[in-house]
Amino acid sequence: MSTPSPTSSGEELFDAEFLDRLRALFLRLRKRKQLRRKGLQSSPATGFTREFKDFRHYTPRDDFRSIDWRLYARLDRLFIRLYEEIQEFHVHIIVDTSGSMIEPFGEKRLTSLKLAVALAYMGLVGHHRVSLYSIGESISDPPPPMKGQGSFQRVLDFARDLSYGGLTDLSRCFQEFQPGRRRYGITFVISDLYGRDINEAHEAVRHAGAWPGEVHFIQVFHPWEEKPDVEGEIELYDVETQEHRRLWFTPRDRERYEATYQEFLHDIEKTCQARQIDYQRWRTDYPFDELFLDLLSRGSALAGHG
Amino acid sequence: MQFLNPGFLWWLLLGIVPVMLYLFRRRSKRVRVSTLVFFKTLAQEHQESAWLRRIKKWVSFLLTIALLVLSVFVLSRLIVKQDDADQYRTVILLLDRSASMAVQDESGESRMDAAKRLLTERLKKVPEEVGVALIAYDVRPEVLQARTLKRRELLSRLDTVRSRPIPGRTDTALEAARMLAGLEPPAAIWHVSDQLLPRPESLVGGETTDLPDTPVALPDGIALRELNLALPEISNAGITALQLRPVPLEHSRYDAYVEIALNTDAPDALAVRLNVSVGGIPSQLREVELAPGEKKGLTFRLDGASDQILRVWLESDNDLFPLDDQVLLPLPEVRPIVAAWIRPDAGEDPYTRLALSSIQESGSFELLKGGPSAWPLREKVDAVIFDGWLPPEWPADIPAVVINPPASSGPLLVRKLDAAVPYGSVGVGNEDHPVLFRISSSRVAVTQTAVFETQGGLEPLWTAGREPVLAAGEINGQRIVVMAFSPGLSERLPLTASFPLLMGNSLFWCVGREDGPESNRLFSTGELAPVSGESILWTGPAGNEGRKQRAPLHGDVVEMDRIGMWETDTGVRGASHLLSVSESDIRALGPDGGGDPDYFLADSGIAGNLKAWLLGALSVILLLESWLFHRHAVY
Repeated sequence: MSTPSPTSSGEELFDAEFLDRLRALFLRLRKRKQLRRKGLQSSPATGFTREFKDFRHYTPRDDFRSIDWRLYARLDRLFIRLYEEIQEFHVHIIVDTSGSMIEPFGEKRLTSLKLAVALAYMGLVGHHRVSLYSIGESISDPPPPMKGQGSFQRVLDFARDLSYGGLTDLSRCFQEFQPGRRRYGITFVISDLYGRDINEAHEAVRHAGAWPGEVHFIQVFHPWEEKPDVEGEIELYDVETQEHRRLWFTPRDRERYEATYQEFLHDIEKTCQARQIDYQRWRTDYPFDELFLDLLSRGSALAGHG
Repeated sequence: MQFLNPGFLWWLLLGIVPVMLYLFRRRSKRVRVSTLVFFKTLAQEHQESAWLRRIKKWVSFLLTIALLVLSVFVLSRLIVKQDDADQYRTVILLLDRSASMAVQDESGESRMDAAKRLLTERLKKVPEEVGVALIAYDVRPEVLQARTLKRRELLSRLDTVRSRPIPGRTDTALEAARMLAGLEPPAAIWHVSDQLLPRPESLVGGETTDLPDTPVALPDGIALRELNLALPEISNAGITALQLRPVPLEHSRYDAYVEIALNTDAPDALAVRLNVSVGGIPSQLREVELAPGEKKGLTFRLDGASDQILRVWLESDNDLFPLDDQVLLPLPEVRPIVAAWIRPDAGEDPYTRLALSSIQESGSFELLKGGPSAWPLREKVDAVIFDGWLPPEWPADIPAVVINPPASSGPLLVRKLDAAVPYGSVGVGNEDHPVLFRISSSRVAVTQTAVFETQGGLEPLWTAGREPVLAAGEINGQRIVVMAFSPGLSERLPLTASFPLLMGNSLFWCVGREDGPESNRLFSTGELAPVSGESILWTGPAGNEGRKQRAPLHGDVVEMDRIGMWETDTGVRGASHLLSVSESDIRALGPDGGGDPDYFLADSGIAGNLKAWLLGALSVILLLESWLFHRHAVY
């Protein structure tokens, strides 16, 4: 069962104010990048253009072809020229459209779509290829890769037309997702990572470890899911599986629930770290800008290009 | 059903609280969640108890309401009306404790035990605010417990009631119960016995066949209920009477009269064997067949009996009531009568002396002789014979035989005739008088020497002409025999056997030995015997030395409350036996049962005060709730 997105226009996801903020974020990232330029290493991949980036003392095993002989003649010391590759990345943005992303907390859908749109915007502005996917019981066939700021409307249309609902089969989706290896890929997975059981997310992350390029897992959750404020007799209703469960929820149960949930988050984070996958928790009540800035400033190639 | 404290029913309004709580209870909160996987990891019992939580809503509600209602019912003192017991303020238990209540059924349970058992059960159904009194009766009623609300005290007192070997008398008992019931009306009298109260004879003997419900007229507000505990079939033969009297003028010889009877409701005729022994030596044996309701009197002659135990007992088959089957009686110690013969020194009548000598030879008579100078006597005598002389001061404490009185003295108004008047015959005033026992008066010729007034208690026995010549009677408790003739002057009298007999009869009658207390100290149980002394020693029916029991005496009478022989510390002896026609006539339960057996015996299971049941239900509910919400970990 899929629920049509309640978004009727792109205004909600990407209004002018959000665009201004996004541009401001883009500039802040760029500033931060410039301040931290020293010590950063360029991508070794071959790109279409090469721009001078810096000098560095020659050390053995460096490519002697990079020695700046003019500087050697002038300073009598060996320096090599560092070039920064201007490379066209392929940004894959995977958005979870299962039922748990829209019910009972619509903020998760809105947050995930905003994040996806923002990442797509960043990719388009950076002249990268951007592909958008939706996952549920399976991964959807992506539309043709988009490129250039002129494709931004297509991104908004894609986000607006997403249908939510159904179950989540993370393992199957991540197994089916095979990003191409021809171009350096940056993959963003935006999901609550809720599967049919607690361990399903760990299994799914293992598949993601085999993906080429950068992989970022952004786990979106609602603060209620972390600390449910219910007590007494409750009748739980799983929006995905339609399963009912009646129980007496005591404060002690709540504590145990919260501990289990934190353990769940922590396990996923550890699994991602073990596979060099960037992982970020994204609570819907946290400021979007700070989280987004933090996401891109943690070494993503997407931010480094700016 | 009825509430004795209905004011507490207002507390049922407290039920509004749980009802409101139930109606406006917190509904289970329906929560939509993204996933259930984290909730499924919670404790399994919490998941399982959800169904209990579901039913707890109405179970808890029902239990709460039940607890409240039951508590209010307990406070309101809910009772179930099985009968009309709760209509009364007082219930009088009129319990028969006469001898027949000792009859045992096949299981060995006596009628008294059955009565106590049934009354105890029946009293449990009587509301606590109904006062209950206990009257036990035999020949006389005794209020063992005045009206009380303390049921335990009453039951304890009821348990102490024992059957006594005493005949029952219902009229006085019913009157006592009626008086007691009248103190706190309305009241009910529960008469529990082995026979119903007697119906009025006018109705029983008349054409009316339907007996009235109540045998007596009771005032308004007093009802009578009867429980007849008689056995369906019973056969009892018993000794209903025994009389022993010495043979006149025959030393140590007695005539014994024994009456035996078979109860009216005996199913068949019964052959009984009557045994008599004196001093342990069998003396008589009779075999008699008795028809139901038949009485037979038997007479025995006992020879040579003195200071011995007379034992009379019945033997028969199928006799369920042994208390009336045996009579023990201590025979009196025969002591000769001591009489003083006072006559003028020169006037001893040889005929009189001859007559007294002949009596003296029988061994039952000792004679002291003396003249007027010997008066007053130093020795204690049983009787005195004034022959031709009377003391100036009449002795009022000694029986006296006066022969040929010379003048008036004391109560005797005498005038001596100047000349004696012979009469060829005498008229007989009362030939059945003991003084004339075995005397043929038709051949008597006397010579009258004096005339006297027969005023007071003197009864003329012989008359000569118009004047009495022989009279006997009691004046102020003193027995006196007056003979207004001279034996020596009478023509034929001294020569016949009648004169010694007359003298002997006169002496014995004066002394009262023929039916005196020493020969007749046989009492029916329940009678009051005049005694003296400080203690009385009872000997059991079997005459066993080991069954002797001494009891103190309080006053001049003692109730014959047991069967056996007794002797006071002053030497007075006697015996006490049932000897009751009515008590030996044990009635069987009629085909209709009689009384109100349903009223007493119906067991509805739940009746009377329901406090115990309600408290039990409360406990069960509390246990159930505890089991549900603790055993199943429902928090």
